[in-house]
Amino acid sequence: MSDKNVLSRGQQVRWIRPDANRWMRPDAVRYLSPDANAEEVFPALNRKYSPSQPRTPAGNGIESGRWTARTRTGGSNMSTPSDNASPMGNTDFGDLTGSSDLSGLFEIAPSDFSIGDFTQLAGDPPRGMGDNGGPPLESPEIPTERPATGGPLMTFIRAGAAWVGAMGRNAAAVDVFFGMLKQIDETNAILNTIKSANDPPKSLEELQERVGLPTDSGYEDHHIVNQHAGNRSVFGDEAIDSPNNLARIPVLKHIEISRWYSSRSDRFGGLSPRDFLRDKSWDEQMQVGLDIMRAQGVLK
Amino acid sequence: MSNSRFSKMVVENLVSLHADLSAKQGHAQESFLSMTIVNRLGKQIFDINDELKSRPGDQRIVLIKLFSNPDPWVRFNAASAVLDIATASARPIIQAIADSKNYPVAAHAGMCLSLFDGELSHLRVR
Repeated sequence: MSDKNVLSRGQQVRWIRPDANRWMRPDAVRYLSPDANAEEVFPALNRKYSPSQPRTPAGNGIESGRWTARTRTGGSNMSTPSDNASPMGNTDFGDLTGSSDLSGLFEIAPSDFSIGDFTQLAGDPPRGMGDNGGPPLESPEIPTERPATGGPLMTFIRAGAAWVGAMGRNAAAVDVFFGMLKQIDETNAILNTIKSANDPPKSLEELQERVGLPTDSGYEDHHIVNQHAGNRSVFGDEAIDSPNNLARIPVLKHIEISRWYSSRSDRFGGLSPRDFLRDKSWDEQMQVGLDIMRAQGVLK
Repeated sequence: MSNSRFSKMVVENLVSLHADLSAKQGHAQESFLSMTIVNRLGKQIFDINDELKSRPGDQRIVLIKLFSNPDPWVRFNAASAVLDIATASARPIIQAIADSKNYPVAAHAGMCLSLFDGELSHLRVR
């Protein structure tokens, strides 16, 4: 096994151990607001101590008193009958304190391991770390202050959304990421935009339920048939702003849909979809509007 | 219409430039750069497609070389350019990108297919 694979395996294993909190920053709680429930934000803290968890007994040649997942005899890594109840096999890497691979909380290596090495306890590991264009496993670096509005902010949000989507919303590392992000995001606007970007597709009825109600952070009301002046002139404000033509969708998806409408395409004779559709009927524009929402993973 | 800038270039260089421009366009999309930049790059890509098409035997087919490029925007633009003339090989490339949920390129790929042979095909400019 190459050095890279050994590191990858170690990184992978440590996040699915019952004592994953050992690799959490010891001062992670200080990034929370004073009234936050630390164990609610960082569920891994709940697993920090268990009086019933077995410990290494004294006098067996290795440091005693340390938590252990299984019985070991004579310092040997030979399997014992108790290993049969340990679904991941031997995952005790010993004391990794001081190891260079622990320098960053989020430095989680790609899942470059043989699936045969493990019993899979959860869903597929995050994919796409190679040449398939998927998101990276490392979380985006948290800036020291709020990114500038526009490209830098949206690039950070997209990278964050892709990473959260790959890791899974309930991952301990994601909780830590959100906790740290709160420190630069007083209004939680960035946080909510990242969270909403991973919403699963919804029905049109669900997307239209909250249209017209007070704003939900992380969401915006989107005009399915574009609301540009030409359409307002042809179809009228009443039709354009009708609840039937609106859907409350994640901010990031709203921006990406708007950019698609502005992107010239050879499929539209070199025009942008927005320009191509200017002389098309309401029904045709509605059909395109619903289709791009499906393509963006917003609409079922 | 043959573009004078591209008409003097050999096919291999046009393919290389197609990939380079596609990668830049993808970066511009994903970095939320101005749509003017995105569309300026797109115009050059369309011009290369036209130049290849104008050459004897319709040389766009050489863009199939880019189907194994690691950049999904490069694969998408190459497959989109040959979708009409090499459907059997280009369509699965675009479908895979659309299925990847790697947005926004996945959405562009999905809409490309919808316009090609999906429910929006009646709107396509042929």
